Amino acid sequence: MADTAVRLTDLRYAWPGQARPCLDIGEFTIAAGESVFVHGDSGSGKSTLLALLGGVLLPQRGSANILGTELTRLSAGARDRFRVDHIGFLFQQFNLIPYLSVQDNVLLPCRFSARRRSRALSRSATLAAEAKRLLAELDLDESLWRRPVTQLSVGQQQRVAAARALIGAPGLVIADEPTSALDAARQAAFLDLLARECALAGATLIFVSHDARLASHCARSVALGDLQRQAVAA
Amino acid sequence: MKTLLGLALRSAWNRRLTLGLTLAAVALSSLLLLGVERLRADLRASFAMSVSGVDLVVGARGSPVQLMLYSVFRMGEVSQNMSWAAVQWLAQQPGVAWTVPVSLGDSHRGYPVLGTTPAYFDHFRYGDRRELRLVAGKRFDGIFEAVLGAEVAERLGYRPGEKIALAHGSGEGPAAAHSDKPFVVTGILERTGTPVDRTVHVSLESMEALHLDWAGGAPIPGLSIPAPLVRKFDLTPKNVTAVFVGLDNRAAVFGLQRAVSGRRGEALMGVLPGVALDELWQLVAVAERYAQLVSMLVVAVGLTGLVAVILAGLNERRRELAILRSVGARPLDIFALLALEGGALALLGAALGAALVWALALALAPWLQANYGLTLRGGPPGAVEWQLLAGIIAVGAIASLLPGWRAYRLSLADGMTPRL
Repeated sequence: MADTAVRLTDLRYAWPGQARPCLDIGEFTIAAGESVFVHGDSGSGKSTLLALLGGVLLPQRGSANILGTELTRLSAGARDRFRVDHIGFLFQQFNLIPYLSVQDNVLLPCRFSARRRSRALSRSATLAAEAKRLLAELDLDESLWRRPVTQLSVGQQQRVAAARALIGAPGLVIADEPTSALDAARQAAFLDLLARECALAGATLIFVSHDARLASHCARSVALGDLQRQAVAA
Repeated sequence: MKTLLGLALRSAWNRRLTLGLTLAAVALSSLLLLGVERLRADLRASFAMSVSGVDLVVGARGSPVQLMLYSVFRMGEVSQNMSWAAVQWLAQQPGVAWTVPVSLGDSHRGYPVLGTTPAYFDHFRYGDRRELRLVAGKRFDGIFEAVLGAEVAERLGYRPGEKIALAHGSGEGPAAAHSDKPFVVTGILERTGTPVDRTVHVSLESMEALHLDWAGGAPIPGLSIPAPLVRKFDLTPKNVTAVFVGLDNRAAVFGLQRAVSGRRGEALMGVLPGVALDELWQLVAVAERYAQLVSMLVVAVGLTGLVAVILAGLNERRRELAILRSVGARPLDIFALLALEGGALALLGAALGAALVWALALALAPWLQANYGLTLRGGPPGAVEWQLLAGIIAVGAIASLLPGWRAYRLSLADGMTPRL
């Protein structure tokens, strides 16, 4: 695996129809295995940054190198494949597909990615066993596994989503405000758990939030505003 | 693809109430469209098979369609009769192989009574030139004897030997009875699937005898001729409703038709059954086209509802679609997910509609047969029905591209963070 998980160079992105760029980053590097807190207020371009890291959006200028792969050189379909092969995502809430069981939600990336599937199977004998291992690891009680996901608490749902982000050992886990729906005590516990699991899996963690108090759970903290080269469109 | 199909199925099951109702709308509208077509096709087939082997139907001049309707299909009222002299004249025309006069007007418990000659059983054909056959008893021989169609016998539970009373006039209601002169059932015909099944067949002489003491459609006051005495009267019929004519050579039919209409003293006409039926279909075609148009509109409404429901659900599913995008679903997958759902619902709805048509045809066939002598074809859809089914499914699938395309656009714009 490459030493750097993320390297953004001279990257600029403007939303269609807007003259001023939303993001203009000279250089941003994250080493493999690092856990980084990215702080940004609402509207500071957090979502845009995540979309660029995930290859959903392409920068108009510059390069976005993720885990040694230059995303700007990939076709749209290849970026979709790359995303599921190498990145686990975790969103703020309603992270689960309501009509799938806990286990099927966890296994979703393995359905779309052969790489995630084979890596999951290298850890456990079956996909189901790997899903259960992760759920147990994330302290989700076994009695909850059979429940419809809509009946789980927000905290429990986020743990299922974390298991989904981690299954098949992606090189990068991106968490977008995953704790905003949790109370303070649970926020801390969940983030510690997430950081620990990422470290165990050897995954780089990027944790994005508007709440600067959560920075302590990551090894490094970066403000999105400091990354920007010039005044950008708010 | 298997993943997508599984997701589509489970997602649909999650919304089963709304989708179920939409499915019902598509199924019912398909039922209407297919049912109208089935009824139309079967009506034609049923009429076409009711008579065969008759080259010309002769009756008093009037509407050819009406003459066919009452003489062959026992529908509507007889407006005018033709004289017995004309019947005899017709039988002597060159090229005429046989003539079968028929006389209508009486009924038995709602079933039409047909006065005719024994030759009727020799010459009348239905369907693919099939003969009438008795399943019980024998033909009528003397007066006050009757041969029943299969439906009459079965419905009323009659067996040979039974005594029945005829009534004046067709239709049910309070018609004057001929109860003073009961008929004996002598035979029962095999089921044909034509109006013959609903008919009570008697001899022309019996018919004449029934009406000896009648004039102008009512009993003559103070005159009553008891049944045993009628044999003393001349029972040669004075007039009949129509005559079925068979020719030695069918090519002669137009010559005979001209001769019939040119006969002096009595206004007659000869009708070719096929031509009269075509005329009937031309009359009916306008109504048929309206029925088809309306049922097509109903299908359009059903499919519009389907697309509207899927589009309306799309907003609530944006989060779901974003999650799928984050785990590697391509925008094209999202498109397929939505288009698949609409297409599958259209397919399922159309199939359900076809199944309903099949079930309804099965359930209604005995009633239509009993009341109208119409034979509904059960079994699989016919060629036109397949075309209509394919049409519904194709239109549904094409219409479903709209929600697919909208989801595609949304998932491109949203990426992984839907702007709700």
